[in-house]
Amino acid sequence: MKKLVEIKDVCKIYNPGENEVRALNHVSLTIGEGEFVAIIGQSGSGKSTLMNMLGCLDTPTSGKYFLHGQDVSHMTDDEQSDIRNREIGFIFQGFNLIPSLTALENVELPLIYRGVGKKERDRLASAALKSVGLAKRMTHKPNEMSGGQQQRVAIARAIAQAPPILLADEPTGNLDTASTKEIITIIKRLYHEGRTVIIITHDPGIASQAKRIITISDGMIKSDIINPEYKDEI
Amino acid sequence: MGKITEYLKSAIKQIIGNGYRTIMTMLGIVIGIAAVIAVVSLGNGMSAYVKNSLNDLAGNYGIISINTAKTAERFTRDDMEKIEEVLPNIKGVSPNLSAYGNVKGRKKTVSTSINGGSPALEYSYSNGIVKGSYFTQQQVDSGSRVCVMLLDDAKELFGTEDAIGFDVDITVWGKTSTYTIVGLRDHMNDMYQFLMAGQDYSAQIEVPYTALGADYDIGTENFEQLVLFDEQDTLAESVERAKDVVANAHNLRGSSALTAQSMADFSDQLDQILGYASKFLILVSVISLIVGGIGVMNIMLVSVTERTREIGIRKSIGASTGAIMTQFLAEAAILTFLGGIVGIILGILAAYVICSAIGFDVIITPTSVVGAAVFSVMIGLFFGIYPARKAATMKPIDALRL
Ligand SMILES: Nc1ncnc2c1ncn2[C@@H]1O[C@H](COP(=O)(O)OP(=O)(O)OP(=O)(O)O)[C@@H](O)[C@H]1O
Ligand SMILES: [Mg+2]
Repeated sequence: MKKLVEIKDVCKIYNPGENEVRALNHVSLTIGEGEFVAIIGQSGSGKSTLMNMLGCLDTPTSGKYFLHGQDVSHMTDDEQSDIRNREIGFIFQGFNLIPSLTALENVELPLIYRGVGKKERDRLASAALKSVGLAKRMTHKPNEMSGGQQQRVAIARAIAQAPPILLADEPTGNLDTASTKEIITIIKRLYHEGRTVIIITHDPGIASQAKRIITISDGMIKSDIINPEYKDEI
Repeated sequence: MGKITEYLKSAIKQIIGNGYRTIMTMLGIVIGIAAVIAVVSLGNGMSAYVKNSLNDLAGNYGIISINTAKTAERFTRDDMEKIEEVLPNIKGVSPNLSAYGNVKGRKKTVSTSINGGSPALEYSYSNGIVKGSYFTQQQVDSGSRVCVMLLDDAKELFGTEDAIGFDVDITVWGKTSTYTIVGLRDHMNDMYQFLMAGQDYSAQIEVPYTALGADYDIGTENFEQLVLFDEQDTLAESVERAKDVVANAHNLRGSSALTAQSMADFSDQLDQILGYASKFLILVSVISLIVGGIGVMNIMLVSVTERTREIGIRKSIGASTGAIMTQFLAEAAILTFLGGIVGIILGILAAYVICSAIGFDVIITPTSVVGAAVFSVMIGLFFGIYPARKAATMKPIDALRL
């Protein structure tokens, strides 16, 4: 298995000085291509901090981050933007859609920044929306959709430009059971299509469906196991 | 290139998609520009109005005076004839005798100022004769006791404006004479009413100088002042030439005993006063521009702060700082440009409405329009881009957290 992401001795310290919080404390971790990883841990343990680092949304205080063997931590802001655009699909707990844009326009955004032409963009974006079951909601704005539908738009946006890595930070945290099931099914399908999926969750039912489970506690990795209950099915 | 078109489209989408914010942002720019255009136009209109009314009020005349301390020479009737001979195109020359007293009509007695002159005195005010006619040279030569006053004076003295042929008793220095009204002048303009407001009523009567001199013991052969009436554009020159004529006649060439003054000198003074007024107006419009600019700045700052999250989202899915800056630059440019156009149109409309309502001429100066528009657009662009730049260079996670 090829190494996809590799972090070495990463620390993240908020408010350095008196009130400092060590959100990540000398964490090292390697994830290979095509893995399906769940990250669990108590609230405040540093899961989101780790995920933001992996998604190039934040930079570590110390330590190194390699993506495809490339050192990301020393890249310029615009190079990191490019990495986020090409390599990473991020799914947030709060959806993070742009309220004034329709579902289709939201999904098209990463393609615009990638420089994809209008026709191709339309095709890719509507295909992505269809694949999450929103063929009939393309022209709706976020406030005209349910939470589950909004999260599906966000997933469509994350996968439209077909990035190899999908990062999901509590993607079902704001959703009811039915929507949660739908979203997890979609994420598992994306994994089966060949993407590397890393998902943060509080839900043991979701974690138990991942292939590898990493537990974080107080900014450190407490355990990192292959899930014995994993079943290779959608 | 294709990307830039997309960022432009994004900008337009945001402008249309956020109608309320768009309107509020544009409002700041519109009000700033419109206010400046309207204020400057109002100021110019007022300035022009004051100037015109004062010119009207005063008529167009020049005065040639003899300094009694420097020479024993005095102006004579011959001098008037000579001047009119040499300058046949002027409206006329008149001596300038005046007296103060009371005038008694059938209804009332009021105080009055009396001017004695030749028929040319008719041009001393711009409000012409509307009833009867001015006294004639013949009446001057024969010393007829006839007079001209304002319609307002007739109304005051007789309770009617139909007062031609009525007699008034004019008392000056204890001597009373009876004069017959032969002509009535139109009402004075608003500026006169304004200047006279609050003062006791005083009638303004014009009589042949011969009659005035005979009745109240004022010399009518020698004068210290002559008044010359002419069109505004030739006045200054005519006054100078008339001065030469009398200087020759009295051997006063090059002497400082003769002085001449025309309305043109008065106009210069007026220009100076109005100059201060327009400096004040420039100050007012600069202040309104700054206030408008602060408004635009606030709205831009608030709207970009509101949108920091949007910037975070865009960055998190791969927008470069340049892409975000292009979008915000385009948004600010479109908003300020549209706001500028609407502001200019509204400002000009407001100027028309306000100035016409007050009765001023509508004067719109291109400098105020261009200046206000450029200033507001610069402010709008700067404060549209500067905070966007700050947000765009943040780490995406920090922008998302806001
Ligand atoms: N911007 C910040 N400034 C200061 N401290 C922060 C900041 N973000 C996170 N922290 C702290 O870092 C620690 C880890 O936070 P993090 O969000 O990674 O936790 P988490 O595991 O995702 O928790 P949860 O399950 O509640 O989402 C916490 O103690 C938190 O208070
Ligand atoms: Mg979290």
